Amino acid sequence: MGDPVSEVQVGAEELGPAVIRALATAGFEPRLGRPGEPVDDCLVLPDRVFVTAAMVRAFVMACPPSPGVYRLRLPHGPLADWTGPLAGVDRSPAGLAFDLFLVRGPGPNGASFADLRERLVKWAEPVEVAPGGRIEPLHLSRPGPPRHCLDLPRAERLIADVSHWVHLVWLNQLLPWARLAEHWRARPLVDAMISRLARDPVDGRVRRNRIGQGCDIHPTAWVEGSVLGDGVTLGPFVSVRDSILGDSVELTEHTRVKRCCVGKGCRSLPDSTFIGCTFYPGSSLASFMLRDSLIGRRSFLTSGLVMWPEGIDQTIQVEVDGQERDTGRWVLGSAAGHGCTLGTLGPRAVLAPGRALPNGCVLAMRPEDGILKAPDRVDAGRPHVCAGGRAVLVGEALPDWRPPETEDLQADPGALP
Amino acid sequence: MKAYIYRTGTVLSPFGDDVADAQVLNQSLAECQRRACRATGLSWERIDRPDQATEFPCLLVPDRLYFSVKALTDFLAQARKHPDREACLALARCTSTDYALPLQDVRRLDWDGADPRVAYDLWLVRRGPLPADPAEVRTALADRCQPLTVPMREIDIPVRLPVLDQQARSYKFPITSTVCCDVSHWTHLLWLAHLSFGIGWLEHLRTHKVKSALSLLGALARRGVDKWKILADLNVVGRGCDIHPTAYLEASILADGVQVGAGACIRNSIIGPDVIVSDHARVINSVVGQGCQLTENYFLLHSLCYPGSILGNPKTQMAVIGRDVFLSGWTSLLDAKFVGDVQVVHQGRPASSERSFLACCIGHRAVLGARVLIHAGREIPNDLMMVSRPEDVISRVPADLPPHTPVVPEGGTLVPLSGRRHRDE
Repeated sequence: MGDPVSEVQVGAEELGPAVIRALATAGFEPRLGRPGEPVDDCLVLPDRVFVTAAMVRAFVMACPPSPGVYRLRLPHGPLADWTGPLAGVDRSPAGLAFDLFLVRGPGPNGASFADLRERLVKWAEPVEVAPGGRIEPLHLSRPGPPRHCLDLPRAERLIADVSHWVHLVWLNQLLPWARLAEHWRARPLVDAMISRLARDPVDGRVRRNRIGQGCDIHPTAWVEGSVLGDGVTLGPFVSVRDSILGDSVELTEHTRVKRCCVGKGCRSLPDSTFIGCTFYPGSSLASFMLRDSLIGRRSFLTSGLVMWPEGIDQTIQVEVDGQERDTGRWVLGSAAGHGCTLGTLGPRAVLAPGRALPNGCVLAMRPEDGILKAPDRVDAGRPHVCAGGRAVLVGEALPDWRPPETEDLQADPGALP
Repeated sequence: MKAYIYRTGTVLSPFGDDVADAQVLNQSLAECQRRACRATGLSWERIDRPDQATEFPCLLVPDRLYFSVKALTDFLAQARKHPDREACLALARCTSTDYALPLQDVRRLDWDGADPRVAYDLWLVRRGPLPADPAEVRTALADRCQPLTVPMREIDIPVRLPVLDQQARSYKFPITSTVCCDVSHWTHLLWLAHLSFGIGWLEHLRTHKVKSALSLLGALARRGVDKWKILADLNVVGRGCDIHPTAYLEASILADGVQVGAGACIRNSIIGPDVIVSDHARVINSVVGQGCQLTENYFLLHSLCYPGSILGNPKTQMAVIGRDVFLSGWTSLLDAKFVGDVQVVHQGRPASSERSFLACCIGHRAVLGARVLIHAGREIPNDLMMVSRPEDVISRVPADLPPHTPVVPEGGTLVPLSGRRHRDE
């Protein structure tokens, strides 16, 4: 996409403001550092690290009070597995060390940020912070047996190193739950009341939705465990679960959204289904099924495009700095940059998992794959095929072909499958 | 009395399974036979040759004959009225006998006359000897055992079919629990799955009379006389099921440990243990085996799934899915023939299924990962793995694609449409 990392979409906002808000909530005064400036008594993190307020608080609490430099280490587990692949972290048998440092007392300085990081890493003592929360098994669409599951962490303490588009997809799948947990933690009395009133866990998640002002929700629409911005419109039979919808999002009838983050002003077309996707603001979206994908700003996604999300016999690879790298995931869609128009690729063509389309990409179908020219005359009851962009009689286009829709196997046993 | 179930050596294609292992009503055909025998107080024994039957009188049944509890009960009740008579089971021709009749190896009696009947190879034999060869049983017993017609009741529900050849067509869907079927082709499993709704429910009502009556009264009291609301209340839900409040169940039987996601819909179906019906998946008039996983938005209609499959294509209709199959999101199973009936292969030869709408049968452990179309009536062999052709998958996206210029797929990558036209010219 070519955006600075601080402007990538996290939830319904940009990463920079989201982290600044988290730091402010945790009691820190955020400030942009300058090269050569000493980092004394402060928290240091690069702009590509996303962290929630709960994680910052837990890290600070876990650090010893004595002067020194401390570095957050996430133990191996579902959260590390979820956001860790391809991330710019230091890996060890004990866990993943993120570039989040707490400096107590005098700290180092560096001529450049790389220099500063090198010194911080050298001085730092790792401090382990477990994400807590709970785990939800996600059943994967992958050949079995056995049935394959992925552990989805439901934690308020989140941290991610956003250095590839896949991290945005993965992080945004975790955010709706974390955002709601943050919200209700700040309102313990109301939360306790909801717990008493809720008939069952699902009812509890419905009561804990955050609905913005001026939302227009059809009575048949279902919203569960989600955050809706101001002015959101949900049409008939829309389902929104575990998702964040930005301001002025419009989901038309029969749209299904699960574990998604939808940017401001996006609009879905009817009967669309999105699972685990991130959409930048201002896009028009339609798909029979789009999974674990990322769509840039002001793009148009049509139903005809198939972004294949399944690795049948191997885990999915993505391109990192010109090289294919393994994500370790069996289910992952693709990414499209800003201002894309994503039409159908043709009757069989699909986009392989883990591909990234650049900004302004316009996907179209080859002319010969569709019927461009209607026949001048139609022989009623005689089968036609698509050939060279036209509907042509089977006998003319393919003299030896017996279309299975009309074949007679008994008359021609040689055509047996 | 004892029931002898003799082996016929029938193997169902494309599965290669012995017919006794065929999936009927979410259990094997052999288990269905044993259950019917137990329910009617018969002991049973599986024998390799018919002449191994030693106790008389006895029932002699081929291993490929499905008979419901009700059919066997009524046959035995009729037989008791004629204590010295040898007999075979016959059903008067009706919608339910016709429903699964194509390709069955049964005798059609007085077919064009006033009293058409279907005679099945379920024999009540009072004396030996019996032939050693299963193929000779019918010849040896047909004259001795006169057909004994079992009374049956059924409800026929008219169903409209899509218009073909400018003709509006329809068929009758029978609801009955008096069913027999000579299972020798995968289409019989499919048709038995369709009939399972009536068999399963009526057997359940018969075995749980008080509970069923109370459920019905409760539904009437809560919902009034609106049939849809009553049907929505009439479900059998096993232990440990996890059903989202927005899911809709209607007249279905769910075994233990079934998970039903948000917005899912299950109607008139039988769902095996530990099945996962994901969000917004729909299952209608189908039988789903143990441990299947139906992914989000999946649509299963009038189909049979063996256990353990993971299914995710947009729509499966009138199909039989084998054990541990994986069906990816874009595989399409065609299920209509525009001219004539769907033809299938039976005993190595093409044969008419006598249906215009019928999909295919997918063998065990098949993995269909490509965006392929499978034509109606075809058999996909066991263990087939279909993947996409390289030219169909865009696996390389050039970094220097020109923005705001249409690009099209070619050779597994994307090329500008304008340059391609120029080159073609």
